[in-house]
Amino acid sequence: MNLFLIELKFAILALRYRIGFAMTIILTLGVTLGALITMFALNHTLLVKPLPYPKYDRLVTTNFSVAISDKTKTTTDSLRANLPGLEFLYKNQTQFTKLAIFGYKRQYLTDHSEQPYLKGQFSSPEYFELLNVPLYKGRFFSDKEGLGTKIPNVVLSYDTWKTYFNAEEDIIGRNIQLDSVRYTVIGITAKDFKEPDFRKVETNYWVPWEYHNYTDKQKSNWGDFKNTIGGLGLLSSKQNKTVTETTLSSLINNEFQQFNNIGLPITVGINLVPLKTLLVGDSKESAIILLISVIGLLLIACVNITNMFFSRATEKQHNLAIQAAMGAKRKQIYLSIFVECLILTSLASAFSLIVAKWGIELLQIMGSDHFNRLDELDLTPPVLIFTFAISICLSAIFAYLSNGLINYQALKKHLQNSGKGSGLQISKKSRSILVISQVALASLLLSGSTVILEKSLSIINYPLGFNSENIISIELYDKSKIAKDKKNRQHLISTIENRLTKMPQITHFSPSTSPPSVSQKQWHVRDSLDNTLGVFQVNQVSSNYFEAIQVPLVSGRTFTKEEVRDGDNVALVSRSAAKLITPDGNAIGKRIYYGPPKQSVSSKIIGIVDDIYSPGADNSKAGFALYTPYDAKELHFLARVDEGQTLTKRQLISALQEIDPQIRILDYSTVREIYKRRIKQSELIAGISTALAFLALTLTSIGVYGVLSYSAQMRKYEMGVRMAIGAKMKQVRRLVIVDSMTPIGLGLLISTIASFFLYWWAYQNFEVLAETKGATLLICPPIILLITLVACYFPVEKIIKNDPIKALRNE
Amino acid sequence: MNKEIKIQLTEISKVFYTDEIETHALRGINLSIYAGDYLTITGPSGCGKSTLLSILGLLDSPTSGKYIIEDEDVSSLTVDQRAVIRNKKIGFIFQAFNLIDELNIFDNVALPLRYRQPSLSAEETKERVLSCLEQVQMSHRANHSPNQVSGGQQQRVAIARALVGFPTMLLVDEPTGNLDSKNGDAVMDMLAELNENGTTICMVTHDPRYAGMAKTQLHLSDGVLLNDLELGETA
Repeated sequence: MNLFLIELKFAILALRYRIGFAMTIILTLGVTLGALITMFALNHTLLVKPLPYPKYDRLVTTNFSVAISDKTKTTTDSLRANLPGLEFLYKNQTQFTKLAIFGYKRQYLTDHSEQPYLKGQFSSPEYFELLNVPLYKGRFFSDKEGLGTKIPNVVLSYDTWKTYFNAEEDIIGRNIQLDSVRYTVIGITAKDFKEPDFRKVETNYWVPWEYHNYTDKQKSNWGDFKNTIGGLGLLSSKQNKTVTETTLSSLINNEFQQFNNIGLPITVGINLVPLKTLLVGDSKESAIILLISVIGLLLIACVNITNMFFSRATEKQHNLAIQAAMGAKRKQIYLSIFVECLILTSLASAFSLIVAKWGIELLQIMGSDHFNRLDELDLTPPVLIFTFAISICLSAIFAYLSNGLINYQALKKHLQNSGKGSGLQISKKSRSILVISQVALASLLLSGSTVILEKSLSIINYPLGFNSENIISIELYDKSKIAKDKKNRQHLISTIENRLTKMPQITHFSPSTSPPSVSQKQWHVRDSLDNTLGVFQVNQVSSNYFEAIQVPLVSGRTFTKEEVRDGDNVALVSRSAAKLITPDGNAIGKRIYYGPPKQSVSSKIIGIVDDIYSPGADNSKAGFALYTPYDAKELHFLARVDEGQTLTKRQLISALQEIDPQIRILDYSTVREIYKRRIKQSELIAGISTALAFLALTLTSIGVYGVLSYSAQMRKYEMGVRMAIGAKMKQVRRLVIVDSMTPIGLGLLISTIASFFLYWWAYQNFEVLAETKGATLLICPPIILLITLVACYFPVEKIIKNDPIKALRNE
Repeated sequence: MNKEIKIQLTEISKVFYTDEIETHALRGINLSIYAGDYLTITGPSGCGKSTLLSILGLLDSPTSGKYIIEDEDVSSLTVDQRAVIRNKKIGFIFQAFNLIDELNIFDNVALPLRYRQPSLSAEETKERVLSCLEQVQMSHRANHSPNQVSGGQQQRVAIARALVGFPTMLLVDEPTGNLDSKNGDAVMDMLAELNENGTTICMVTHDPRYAGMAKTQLHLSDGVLLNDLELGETA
């Protein structure tokens, strides 16, 4: 310990004179290690850290699956069920120790002055028990608030209680009104409750299951599968998931077949998805890819730092020789190197924790749409232990590598040379290995980043197919329920249109079910022979929709106002969809069919429009779209404003208030904003991959420059001799650069082969790469080659531009 | 009066192998160094002086032969075992001083004690370092760094460092090579004074004037110890 402290003192004294060296290592290692710690924290939270629920490893969700003629329809929804099926399962299953059913809904807190639109859940009492929801005060639902009873009680979240009820302690027992129903507050969840992030919304309140507000028709519709309701069950410790799945599927399918009035050979099953798997979702792949990327980055940084420690070892050789002469043993000399490495890596680790803290905050801001459990990210004890362990490991590795450079037998010569000779040198082999590994790692990382970037940019830059500028998407909610029937809704829409089109800035007013490229509905479309043509995204639009969003009509015509008003069975399809219907794309006059066979609806195609790109949709780029007349079910419309003009929300509210004071705006966004939200994840990934590529290239440039600069210094005398005997500058330059190119070429060869193999493997295993081209990988070697050529050129140029005598004198 | 033999080399040879060439640096060296000896080794460049000094200082091992320090055979020790003997029994003084610039003079002198096991207490270390610095009249510069003092003073610090571990023998390699004549003389006077007080010294030098100050002069030529020139009292 004593010797350790002495070496510590000596190392600090030595580093005091090498601030540049120390700072370079601290910054390089600190930034890359910070990135690694951030990604470690993310992966640890997502993949390792237990969920904050008891027996979480036995909690599963019951997702309904549907198979038509043995073809199971896969879904990416986190929840999926039909209402009668879910209730039947709840009442009849015997497999789970406990089963909770729940769903999501939104309601206005009508007796609050701001009338906020709150996010709520309707759930059976078991929900709170299974998740062990901590209680701040009051109680949760008991059996008396279970299925079949309608007691209007409500549980509020801690934040909701604080935000909308001023954290009033006497809230329990008080009545509040959600839409038209008055509920009694019976409990407040504790502040630290983290609800499962099924739908990426924070629940404001919970009401008993029976307050789901579905109609009797919906309650008995076995064909209506929703992604807003689901079940959460607890398996017993001895229960096999697959066996339970089979038993439950059989139970639910037998019941389903009794009510199957759809007319298709449908089989319903139940997939049990572990809660943890569900909550991690597809973010697992991204988290692992990010972790691998930052490991690559750290490796490049480590190669650079190894090179710096090598240089330091050569510089330190004199002191080490003195220490050896004074009787220092090999392990004591190793300790002296290790302590210096430890100080630097410890400082770098301390700095990396600051970087990681920033990284985590950045990730929480930017990655919340993609990653779950981000609020749990922090510099937790496992993260700190990881940092400490990696700091020690890196110190040991750097010290080991530097120590390997020391030839103990040669140390004595250094002392006896009395300053003569060149002393310890980094061998050509070591230098070549450094360059090969730097180039190979950087090239691999660059290749990976480029492929991911290509995928992200293909989403971001794909032409939308319509003019998204100056269009505002507006969704309304008619609280007075005056528009309960279609005629009233049509009248309301017409009134709104008349009022808004009087506003000078609005050029188009066009009702539709959803904004362009954000269709929520997908229909299986068939031909007259009942052959499936494909899955089309459906939007119900008005007659001027295509004019409003400026999508050209390819052939035929658009809807007339009368067709929209009467809900005629006519349709428009996109160009790509038309080609699915008829190979020549001339689908005008053809009939298409959709809906259950027994209730099949047929529409005649009257027009074909250009494709609209819908980022994020399964067949996003194909643009298979079906347009039917607007049925006025949703109070949604688009308003195009004149170039340079604006339509503020306040102006809109004021105009709407004139029509009906009860009308509320549910959503007010520009179409550009909606599009931006949809490509946010791609932009995030593009940003991260660009940053990774940039960092990899920068680190490699610095590292290769460092090694080649050292090599050039080693050959300074040789270059001087060559020039002295008449070699021209370009001959010397060519000689040195060609020699340096050997390890660079080898590194590129290794990385090119490795990256093609990795790409091939990833292409087979990751769907995300499906639309990328391996040819992108060919861009990377020339980029690395160019950068390394520049890194080769400058150190040589610095030597040969001077008189040969300077090189001969080693000046 | 019979003196105690401190160092004994018997038929020491050192051969360097490079590719297919064998270079015999030392051939059958027999040498006894007694307590209180002051011995110089002279010879032309490449005669094997440095190799002999390396073997004497346990910085290198002989190819064959026997090397005994104070009755302990050190001919075939491991690297670490040699480090322990070097630390306890050998004090080095180099031509280029070989002080560590980052450490102050006190820490430079204390360096051999840092590697000593069992380790000395801080008090004892301080006492011994200051005593040695006092001996070479450098105690007033204990907190300075080596590059703040002259070459002659640096060599005095190096002498103090060589003495601090109470070694069996001082191995001195061209101690005046990097000094002017005034400082060189001062260093040589100091070595002579140390020898008079009982320190055993073995010195390699080119300078016949300084070689003449030793009690015993050895001449090395082509790896062979040619003659012993007895200039003073020997056993």
